[in-house]
Amino acid sequence: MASNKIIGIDLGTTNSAVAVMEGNEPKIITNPEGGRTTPSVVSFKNGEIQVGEVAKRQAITNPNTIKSIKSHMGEEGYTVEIEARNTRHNKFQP
Amino acid sequence: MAKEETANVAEEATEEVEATQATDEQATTEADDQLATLNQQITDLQAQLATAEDQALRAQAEIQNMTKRTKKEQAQLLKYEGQSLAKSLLPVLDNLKRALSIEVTDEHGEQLKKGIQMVHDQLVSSLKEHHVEEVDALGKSFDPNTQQAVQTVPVEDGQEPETVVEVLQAGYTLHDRVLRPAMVVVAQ
Repeated sequence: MASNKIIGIDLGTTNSAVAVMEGNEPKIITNPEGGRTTPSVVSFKNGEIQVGEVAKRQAITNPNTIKSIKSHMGEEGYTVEIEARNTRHNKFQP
Repeated sequence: MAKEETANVAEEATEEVEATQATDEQATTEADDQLATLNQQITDLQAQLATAEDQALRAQAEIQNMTKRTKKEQAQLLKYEGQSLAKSLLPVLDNLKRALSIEVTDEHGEQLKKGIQMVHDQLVSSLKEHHVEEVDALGKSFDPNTQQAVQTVPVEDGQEPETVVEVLQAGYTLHDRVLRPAMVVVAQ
């Protein structure tokens, strides 16, 4: 039987949002900076994974940053190679 | 003759007993049926009760969750109150800083500059009172939590990689929240 902890995630190309049902209404959950949306960016550095605003801010300095990955969904032969010491896969195919 | 009569009586008696037995059996079957129906009803009602209790518990849990969330939100609102106002004042501060960087040649200009400096300092201290502080980035290691890298330059001799070499626009924090990240140039 499904748990009562249900959230809805809108995983957008540039930004994502998360909401929870309160009674009959969905309610957006804000991120730690008070934002109602969070950038859809993930970065890998020194074995750490960072997401959201923080990842976006260091995108220029870090080649192992992935942004707008959704725009490549369904693209024939598109792969991403990054260095991420704490994952088993170093090659992603979106 | 007597034998026949006795036989008849005996037969009648047996028939009576059998009839009573039959009625008894019928009554028992009816009673059994009733019992079965009532038992089924009990089972159904128990199941309904269990569902209703479960729903009540879940509703209670949801109320508790909602209360917790609302309290947390309120605390956040109070802590970071004025966030949007503070954020909209930052460009004002930016422009005051730009005004202060203008070269002045005569005394009149100096006086004006001093005045602008006073306005700037007042604004800074007022913001500080409300826990808005400038991000200290120059010369330090690049921190994406409070800074945004907009440009990279090659690192020079003796410089640590990932150092902030220039702050293009100052960043500010409100308590522990980033109001606006500092725009920096990072040496790599």
